[in-house]
Amino acid sequence: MDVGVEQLGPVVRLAPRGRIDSATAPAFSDHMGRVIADGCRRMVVDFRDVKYITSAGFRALLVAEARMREAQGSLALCGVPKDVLHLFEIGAFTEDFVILPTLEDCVARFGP
Amino acid sequence: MRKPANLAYGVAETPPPLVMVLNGIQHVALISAYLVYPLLVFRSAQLPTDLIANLLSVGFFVLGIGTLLQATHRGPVGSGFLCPTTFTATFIGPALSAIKLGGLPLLFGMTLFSGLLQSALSRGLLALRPFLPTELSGFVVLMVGVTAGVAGVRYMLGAPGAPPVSGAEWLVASGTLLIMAGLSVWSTGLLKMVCALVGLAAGYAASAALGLMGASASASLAAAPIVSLPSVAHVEWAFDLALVVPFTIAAFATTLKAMGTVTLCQRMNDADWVRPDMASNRRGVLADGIAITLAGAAGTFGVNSSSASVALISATGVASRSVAYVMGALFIALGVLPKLATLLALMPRPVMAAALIFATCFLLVNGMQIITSRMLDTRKTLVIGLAMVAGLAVEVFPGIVASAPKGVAPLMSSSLVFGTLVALVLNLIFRIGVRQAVRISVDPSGAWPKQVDDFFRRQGGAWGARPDVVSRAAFATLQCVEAVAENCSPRGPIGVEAAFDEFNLSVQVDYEGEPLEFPDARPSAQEIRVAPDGMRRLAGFMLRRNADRMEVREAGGRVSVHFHFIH
Repeated sequence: MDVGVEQLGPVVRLAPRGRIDSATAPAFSDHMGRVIADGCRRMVVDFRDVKYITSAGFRALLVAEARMREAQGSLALCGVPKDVLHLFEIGAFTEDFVILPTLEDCVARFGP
Repeated sequence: MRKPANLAYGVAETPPPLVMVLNGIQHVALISAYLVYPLLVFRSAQLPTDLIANLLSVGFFVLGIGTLLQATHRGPVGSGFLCPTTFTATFIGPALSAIKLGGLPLLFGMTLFSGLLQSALSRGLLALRPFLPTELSGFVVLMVGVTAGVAGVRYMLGAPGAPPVSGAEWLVASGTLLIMAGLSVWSTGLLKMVCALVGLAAGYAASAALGLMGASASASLAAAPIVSLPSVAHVEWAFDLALVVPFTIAAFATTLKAMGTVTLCQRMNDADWVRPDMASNRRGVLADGIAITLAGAAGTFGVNSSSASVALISATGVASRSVAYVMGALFIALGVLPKLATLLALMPRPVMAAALIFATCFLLVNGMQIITSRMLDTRKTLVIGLAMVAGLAVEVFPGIVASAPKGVAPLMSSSLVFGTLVALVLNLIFRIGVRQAVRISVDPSGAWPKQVDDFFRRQGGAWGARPDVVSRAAFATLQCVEAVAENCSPRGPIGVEAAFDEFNLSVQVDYEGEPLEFPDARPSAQEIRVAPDGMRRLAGFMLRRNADRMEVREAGGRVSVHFHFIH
């Protein structure tokens, strides 16, 4: 799957594109795992180009979130389109993740 | 219900008294501008000033009771939300016809009929939907705007026996409209919200300064008591079959509006909102219907839930139903101030024309926005286009009525009635052949996600369906096929069949293999991460919550999962 990676100071922005499903979730999970293994402690996943996310994609996100927490880091999501936000709502995931409108909001949330 | 972050006070919370009172005053000020609708009708009937003032005072009582009823949150009536009641332009056309045909008794009797009809309609809202598609409700709003705007201009320029429009009146009309429009565009906060009321006040001041109010106005104002209960001595009721169609269309229009406004309130008050709560809609539409019935019974003009007030709630962040209690008290207090009602009854015609034209702008554009919120295929284009031509023909060539057959003439009494009738009939006719079902076969080991994605994109466009509903149906199919492919050992291809008939989008996924489970509760985050069946149970949970209705059937080893989405 096509996942853009951008370093913004201490924050790493990951930008997956298209569908996050059983076919693409392993690659998405690998990207997040590599970023965490490389020492990143502030990760933002930018959802602006994501069309759908299925249960496989949510599992990948939950695994990354748990790993970040264990490493004393933070994970946030931004730019979630309305249709995809609906999927977070029906999956009852809005309390499991920090979801903010923009990348800047996430960076501000992380603090100095 | 979970309060969204942008609301300062949710529906069940009680703000500090000052916040409650100030918000109540804001809403009452906003709604007061719509008094221009009943005023237009009563002035067209050339009723004496003191009677008009009394009718408006009774109207204030109805607005107060209607607002309180809607805020009721126990029992079969009331949505429980702060969803104020206002006078509505929907009744202008039918009311003018009623006054012409049979005076106030016929207006009150037919308004009462509309209210009872809406109350009955509240019981069968879902069944009505095939006959009342979104673009048709948008058309009704558009034609209400046309009716109100034309009525306002006609009143300004061509009321029977009225003197010609003077230079001073043109000045006041244009100045009032400029102030309303200017404040609406360039101001912010409270001033923006009450721009119409500020414009009205400026119009009154300019009219008084230019001598447009006259000595009789001062005399009427002086003669009105300061405090007094309104009288219902004027109330009589009459009924005429000739007006059943116009007032039935008005009832359908106010029903649709009430449904839309209550749905807006639901969405505004619940961060977890997914789809309309039909039980709440039914109670809200019933409360609205009772308010209209009361308007007819007590002897005043028709009312409806105020979407402008809901927009104000969104802007202030105060959605507490306690504000409704304050509003109820304020409206009832206004109802016992005849001097205020007299002042409103004396509204100079250029001020009234400006207010009507200002309100018309929003009705026209709102109607157009609702119509174009759907992809319009050839069917819909013809329904709206032909209905619009029919309605406008009645406005532009009123002589058409005289040459129409006797039974048809009453149906052409207003552009709203005739245009809506044409739209309703054409909509029914064009439903023939609309249901379309399309089937594909999916290889679970192949590149099926793209195949399913492309299928729904193609079909959604061909059907002219709403993008958000197509998106939900596509997700249901993707998630279901994924879960089946990973967990159900499917033997052979998986069948996907989608059917669309304008008001329902149904998807069937069928396969030979093990059945899926669809739990009511979501597995925990830990279970999703590590349990062997965590992802499968999550998939089933999401599929159940995503669809408006779903069924699973098994026969001879073949499993068939049906998802239904209300369109």
